[in-house]
Amino acid sequence: MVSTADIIMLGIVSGIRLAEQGRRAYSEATIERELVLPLPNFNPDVTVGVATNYFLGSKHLEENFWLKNLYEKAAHGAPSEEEEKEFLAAYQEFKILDDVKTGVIKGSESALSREALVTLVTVRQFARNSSPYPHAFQRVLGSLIEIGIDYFANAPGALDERSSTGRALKGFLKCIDDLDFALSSVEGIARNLFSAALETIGGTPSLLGGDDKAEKLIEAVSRGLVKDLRERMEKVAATDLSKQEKFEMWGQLVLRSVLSNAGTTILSNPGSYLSVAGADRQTLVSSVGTCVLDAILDEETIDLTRLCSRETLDRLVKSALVTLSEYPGLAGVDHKGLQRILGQVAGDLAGSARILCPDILPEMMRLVLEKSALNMDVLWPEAFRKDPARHLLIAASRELLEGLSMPAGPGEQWTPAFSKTQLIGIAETVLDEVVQNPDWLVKRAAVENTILGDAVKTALASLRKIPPGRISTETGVQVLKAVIKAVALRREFLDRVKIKNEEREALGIILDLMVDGMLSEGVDPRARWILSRGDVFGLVASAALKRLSEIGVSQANILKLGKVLEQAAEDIRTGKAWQLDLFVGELRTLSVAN
Amino acid sequence: MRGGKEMKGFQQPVRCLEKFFLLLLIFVISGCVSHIQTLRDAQDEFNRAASLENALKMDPKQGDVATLGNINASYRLSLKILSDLIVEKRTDLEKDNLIGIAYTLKALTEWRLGEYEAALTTIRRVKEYPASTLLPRDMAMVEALRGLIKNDQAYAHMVGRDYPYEEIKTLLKDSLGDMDRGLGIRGTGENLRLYLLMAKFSVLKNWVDLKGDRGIPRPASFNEAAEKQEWCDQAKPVWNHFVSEINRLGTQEAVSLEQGWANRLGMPGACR
Repeated sequence: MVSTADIIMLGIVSGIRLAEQGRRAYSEATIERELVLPLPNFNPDVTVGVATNYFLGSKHLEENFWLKNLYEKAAHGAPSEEEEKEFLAAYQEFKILDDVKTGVIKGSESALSREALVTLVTVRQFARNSSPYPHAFQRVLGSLIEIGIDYFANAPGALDERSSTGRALKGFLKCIDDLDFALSSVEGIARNLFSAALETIGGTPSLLGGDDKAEKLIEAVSRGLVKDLRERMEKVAATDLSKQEKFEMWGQLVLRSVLSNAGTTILSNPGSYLSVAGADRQTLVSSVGTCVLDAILDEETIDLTRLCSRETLDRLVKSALVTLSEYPGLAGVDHKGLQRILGQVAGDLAGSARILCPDILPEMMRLVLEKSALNMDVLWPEAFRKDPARHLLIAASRELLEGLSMPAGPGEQWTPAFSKTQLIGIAETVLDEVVQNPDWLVKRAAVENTILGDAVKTALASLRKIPPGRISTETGVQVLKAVIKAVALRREFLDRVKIKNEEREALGIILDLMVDGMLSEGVDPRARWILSRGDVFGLVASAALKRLSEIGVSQANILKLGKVLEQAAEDIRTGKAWQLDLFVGELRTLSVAN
Repeated sequence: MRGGKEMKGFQQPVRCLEKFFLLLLIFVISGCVSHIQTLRDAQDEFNRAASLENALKMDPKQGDVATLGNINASYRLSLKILSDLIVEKRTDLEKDNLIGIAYTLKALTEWRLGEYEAALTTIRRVKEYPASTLLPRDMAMVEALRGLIKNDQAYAHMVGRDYPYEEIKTLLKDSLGDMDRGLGIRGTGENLRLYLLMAKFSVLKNWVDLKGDRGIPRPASFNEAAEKQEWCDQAKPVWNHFVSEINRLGTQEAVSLEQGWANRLGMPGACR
């Protein structure tokens, strides 16, 4: 026998369950409700852009002169209102004809109506017949026989700040605790940089040393980057989400790169970086990240984000860290030394880099920084620190690339296509020499160019006389490097000498002599067959230039070189014995002419 | 035939019974479902605004100040309802698995009101919940929203003529990529796929208008034929996908929709 109390209890329990299931049914019905989705913004009218896009490359333009006229005006000129209307009417007409011809239009379809759109953009939560929810009726019935219990478990993963990872992460977390998280962009920066920091710290053993140096380092690096990124992102928050994403991505990459390189560079050299007190230490350490980021994201000269890879970025950051550890003063006073160098390289070299190979720009930045660390006081004296154009390596790079990117003049035949590696190779040779002797950039009296500019220009002028296909770009690079090394040892290569009634730079005469004697049309085909082979020209030119730098660039020595070359061609032509090794040896021991 | 009639006859009282139960339940539990009702009110306001806005997009000449005001007011009202609801009834919404719906609708409303930063914050909030919080339609919209915002930013720059050609093009191309993420979500219906494809058409329409706009200076490297090829490389697969969805539907509305976009974009002839 069921008691009244049991009935009451059953009623209460059933009522509660029923109410609970009813609530679920109601919420599920709400989840499944259809939503009308608004289309994003666009101009619904058929525009000139649509019509020109349609006709570009179509046969209608070739077949209808009047249409071609209209098209030209619409696409490239300034059509009148009438002409624009006529052009749009022509679009409608030709499009319908084309669609009928190709079977796209089969009958009397009407244009898109409001009703059609509203019907089709009313969207259910789930695909048809695939709702996972039981029917409300089933649910109510089911509730009478089913009791569900949900367990929620909450197990927060506590971070042990006594561990080395914990300390390292604490360094990052300290930098974000003063940010204003009301702004979405700030939250995004913190979140993404945190995950980048987390991964990098975990994968960089040197950052897990366990003392407080790593913590301070990470804090300083992160704080600077977060601040810089926040400012950039706030500027474009409302107008360019793509740019915001780009900033965020590069911020992460730079942070990863700085943290992973800082582990080896800064922590192994703590005296330079971490012994500086207070805010200055922070500026010194954080300036690497922010300066590199600024250089990459500065779009006024060239978009470096298209040119930089993870590896290039890593090398650049490493060079910046080394340079700063050698010359902490670069980040001193107004903290902009590094930024000025990078900005000036981008600004000065962008033009010629575009012509030669845009990819070299980040590498040139790295080279300039790397070489600067060797002799900063001479290359960029303290007095000129606010004028990066006075940095000798930047000036040298500019002069070199401008010379290499000059278009061939009339009658010039050899047109090299330098690869990135070849350009960097030449630049490295040049910058090494400038580090040894800054006078390369001195202008001589009555001469417009610097010594470097003259050497590059003269060498290229001779090489460009070589008929196409006779030497490779690599051989040209070999000769250019030999020229730089020879001029470095003896400046007289650029003095004017008179030979055969012609007076000009000795270097030009020597190279012309070799081109004429080995590669020109005037050389006997049998001799040319051997002398223009592979790297023969490069080896001969290098040996000759080196020897002349040793014995002197006199008129007599140049004439003697000419005779040796003539004799070699003659020996080959007449079938006498000739060996490249012996010939190069002969050049290397060329005696001083009397 | 007869069996079918019998079935219909059987279903009729069952449906009445269902409605009775549902009403009874609503009565019983009305005290604890006010948050659901409030969410439905926000949905209604949003749907009203979106319907008006879509109608206006098809025929902008019909748009007067009052209509624009109505659209804005409905979106604002929807946003106010949702913002208050999320603050005051978060636990109830979470318990009823409605928090995803509420956040998604809030993000969409913020997008339409041009409050892009707020919309992105809203998306971040909802993504902090377990993945199952977002159901297919909402998940797809959340994934596509960045693209929808980028399109509108690009369009604003086109109207204002205040941004370089290449930057606007980047926004539009990125927008197409983001929308693909929405299209990649499984379990969405054909109408959502159609919506996202039409959203991509809106982007492509903006791109073709950008190409034809002489008021926005083109870069020195601008090459008409290459630009058209780039546009067609994006437009062709979207068009083919759209046509296959339309053919599957086979309704008069669908055919009408295809015709309207074909005219507006010059497809498929422009890329033949």
